[in-house]
Amino acid sequence: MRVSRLLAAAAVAGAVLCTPSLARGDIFVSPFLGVKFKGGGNQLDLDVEDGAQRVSSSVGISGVLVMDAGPGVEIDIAHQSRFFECKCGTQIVSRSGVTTLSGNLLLALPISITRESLRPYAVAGLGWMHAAANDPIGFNPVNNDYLGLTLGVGAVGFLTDVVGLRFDLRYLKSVSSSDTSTVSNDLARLKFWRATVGVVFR
Amino acid sequence: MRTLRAGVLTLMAVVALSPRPSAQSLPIALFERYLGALREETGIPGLSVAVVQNGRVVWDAGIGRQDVERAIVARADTPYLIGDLTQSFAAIVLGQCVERAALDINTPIRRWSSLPEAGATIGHVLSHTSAGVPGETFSYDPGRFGTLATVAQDCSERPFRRAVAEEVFDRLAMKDSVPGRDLAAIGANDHDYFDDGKLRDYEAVLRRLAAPYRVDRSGRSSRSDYPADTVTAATGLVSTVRDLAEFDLALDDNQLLRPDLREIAWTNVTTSGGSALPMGLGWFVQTYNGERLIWQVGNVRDAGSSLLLKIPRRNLTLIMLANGDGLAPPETLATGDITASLYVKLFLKLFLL
Repeated sequence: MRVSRLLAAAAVAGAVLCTPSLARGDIFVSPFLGVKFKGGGNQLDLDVEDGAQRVSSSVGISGVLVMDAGPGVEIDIAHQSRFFECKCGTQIVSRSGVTTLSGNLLLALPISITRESLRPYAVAGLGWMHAAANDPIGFNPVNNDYLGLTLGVGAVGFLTDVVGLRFDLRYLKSVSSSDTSTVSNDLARLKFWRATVGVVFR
Repeated sequence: MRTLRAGVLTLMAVVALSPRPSAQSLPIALFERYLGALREETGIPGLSVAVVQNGRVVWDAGIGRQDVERAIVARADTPYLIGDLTQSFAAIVLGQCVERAALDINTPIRRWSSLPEAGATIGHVLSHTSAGVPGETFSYDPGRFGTLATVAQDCSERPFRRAVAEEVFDRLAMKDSVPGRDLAAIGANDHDYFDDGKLRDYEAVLRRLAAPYRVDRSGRSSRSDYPADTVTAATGLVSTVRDLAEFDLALDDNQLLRPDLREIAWTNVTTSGGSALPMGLGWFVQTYNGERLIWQVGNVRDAGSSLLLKIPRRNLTLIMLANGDGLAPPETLATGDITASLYVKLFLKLFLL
């Protein structure tokens, strides 16, 4: 658990410290709302992945520094609530969620190409993922930390000089964990997709 | 905490309001609910379960399918290979020999087998402590245990499988239990063991035997084959959870063995230095949260698994049979720790509150 956290912290810090030192760029903050879907893992899931697979809400905030010529960095924090809970008659998981914090490199199309229209970008980075879940009798409490990989694409556009919108789709996947699966004794694994729409404040 | 409490209350309400064919206690209703999820997550196609409490079967059921391809659901009377649970039956047959003064468990096993350890006795083999310096270390070895069939044959004056059939299955009317899946393959010799009527009964049971499945590490199951093993004192019997519940009740009622001999079988053997080893005679004995657990687990590689767990102070027994690996991790028998089984962990969580 400690190794995962240290690596995640290093990734986030690295993303901040490696900020390109070009003069012209945009700094913006983007609170977002969206959904997680097609989740899964190898931890004992008492709702048998019905919950992990289904769509549930995702909320978070990103801070982005992107240069006019393209490269940038992003810090992203999000929480996916009711991650493992199914809306089914056999629901057992009573509380669950996945929280992510990642530092990402962001590569956007140069502003000289996109001008005033939507500016597409791709992101990739590493970070910390934390999964929690419980059930009514406390048989299978999940409290796992992971080193997670983020890959995604999106587009950002401004409606005014200050306010804009951002559309984002990303895939988050654990690459390491010091926790083990209760089913197989393998390293715990977790993955999911996230689609969000955010308001952008420059 | 408040969320957790709300969750418990919600689940209790859901369970209480769910239509059920018979009244169930809350732990059993919860157990059933969790079992379904556990079965799917561990990839076992079908399993049967029985809970015996205070001298009666309080719940038995089948969950999933005993044959996936033919869509046959598992039931409480579905027969399975019980694997290493066979050892508990062998222990009973040998115990009955001791009762009749036809056997002394301190007799050297070399009289019947060629084990290298000169000092190893029947008792050492029964407790899996015959290897190395006999009585000093535990080393689970079904191969060695299997040789006890010859001892049972000698002291009961009939083949081991017939001794089990007559002294346990027939006495307790365990009508869905068979002394070996290979009975038909023995051919003409069968008639030396059992009459035609008995053989027809066994064949009828074996036609309903749960199909075997291999479960991979990711929890996917695929059809496999029954093992070619014959019956030994260590493995090979066929039974149902309903029949094993009868076996359990008879054990508690002293129908099979004198209480003093049963207690010896259910007490950890100790080394010369006084350290307790994981087994008694044919049974594992373990303490969990101050409770004595008496248990045996069976693994039939790529074909099934089984477990029988008794909590004597609570008059409580869990019996489970499955047509895939996974009721307990394979290392359970080597470590002597039944709590490594998710199914047992769940049962203890619900019933040892």
